[in-house]
Amino acid sequence: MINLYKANMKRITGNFIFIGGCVIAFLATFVFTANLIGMRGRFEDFGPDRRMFFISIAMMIFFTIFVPLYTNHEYRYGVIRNKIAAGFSQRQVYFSHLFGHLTALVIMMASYLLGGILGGARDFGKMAVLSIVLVFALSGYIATMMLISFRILKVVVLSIAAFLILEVSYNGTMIGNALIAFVLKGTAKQIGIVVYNMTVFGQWFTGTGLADDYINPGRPQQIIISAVVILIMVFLTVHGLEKRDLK
Amino acid sequence: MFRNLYADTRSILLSRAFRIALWAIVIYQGFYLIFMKCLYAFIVGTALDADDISFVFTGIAAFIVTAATLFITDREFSNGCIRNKLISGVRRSDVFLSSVCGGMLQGAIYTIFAFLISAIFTMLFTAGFIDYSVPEVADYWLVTTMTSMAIGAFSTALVLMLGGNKLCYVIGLLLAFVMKVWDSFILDKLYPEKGSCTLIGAKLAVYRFVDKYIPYSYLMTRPHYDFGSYIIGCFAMVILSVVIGLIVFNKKELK
Repeated sequence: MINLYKANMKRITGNFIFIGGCVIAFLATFVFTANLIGMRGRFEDFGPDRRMFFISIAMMIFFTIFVPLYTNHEYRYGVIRNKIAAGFSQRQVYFSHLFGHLTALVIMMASYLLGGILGGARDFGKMAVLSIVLVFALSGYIATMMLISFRILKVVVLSIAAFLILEVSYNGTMIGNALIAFVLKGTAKQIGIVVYNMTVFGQWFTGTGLADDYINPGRPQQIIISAVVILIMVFLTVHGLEKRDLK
Repeated sequence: MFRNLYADTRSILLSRAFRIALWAIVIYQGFYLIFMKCLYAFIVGTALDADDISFVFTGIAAFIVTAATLFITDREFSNGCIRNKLISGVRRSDVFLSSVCGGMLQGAIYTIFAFLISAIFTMLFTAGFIDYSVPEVADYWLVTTMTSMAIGAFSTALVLMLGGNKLCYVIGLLLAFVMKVWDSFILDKLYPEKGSCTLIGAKLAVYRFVDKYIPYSYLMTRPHYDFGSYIIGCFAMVILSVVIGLIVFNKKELK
């Protein structure tokens, strides 16, 4: 599996979408954090640190595009069948991709942090905590994208499914804000907060400072929720993976 | 041209993706109705207003139309479909125009279908409109239909221009999502809940242009410009998609 992972990393680091994404992550974070575009009002009042975190959600959109497009390549030209013929299991292929994407996430986070720090963000303590929370949340999202990427073989259906998940999590967060604030009470509210924090949008929103405090169950709890999401997604993907039919 | 258009239309109407899109509209509107019914019954305590459920389709219109046209138009690039058409004597421009017409047709059908579902739900399960008169409701649906047709044409042209490239699978859907998020910021800035708009200069001009002439933003809120602006916006999007698309598609190398 190590060889598969190395091969993946070589392809990922040479992929023009990934390189472009890292460059955009650096430039967009730098421009937004330093407020080079002269934003006024709310975004000006945010200050560099909050502006930096605000722009971080763009990484979710990037992985919505990158993970399905990159991973679906396995099903073209008999790539995955060649790997199986070479003695690797489908589970090994899956984990090599998952770890590859998680490494790509770490590289992109480094670009984002560099852009933010050069742009003027200085609250390193809060930055470190929020970055760890974001890495776990995005890892859960990548694991979700990997689930559909390994289960849906047709690239056009896969892209639609990926953007459907993005739309649902965005709309879900907007509806969740209203439900948690005005409708849900007691235990239902606690469950609502956990569900809300299962999405990257939810955790990101709590970190921007725009959401009410009660939506945030605590940073350690958010990490635990993300870890549970990762485990569920990995389980759902690898369950029965070896038995499926490859065309 | 017309034989090809007939064949394309027939293919669209018989395709599974078309039926799935219709089902998605029914399920989404039904789910939303149930959700709002429960909310009104258990929390608000009054009868459900038609205003709250009638126009929910606009929230998913861009995604549904883009996804459906992407799925259906992408088939043109499989199994030598376009090359077979060309061998049969159909010109490239006819292939393109016929597909764009198909995209517009899909946009219109999905919206009219959503309107019918919405009308049935409104009559059966709500106490009627509070803030809308009948002409305003008609105006809203007319603008939504035109917008869906324009997005259908644009999305189809995009797939035909980028066909064979991986990016064609994500550009249209990405644009629909980004415009949705950006438009919510634009509306927040142009029509803030508290106080008046503080935008000035170029930023105000750009935000007003997007709000007034870019069809994606018509789906974000009820019509608030004169009808002519919406016609100009939709018409411009279709014309630009067709002109740029024809230039690119006529020179494109088909694999």
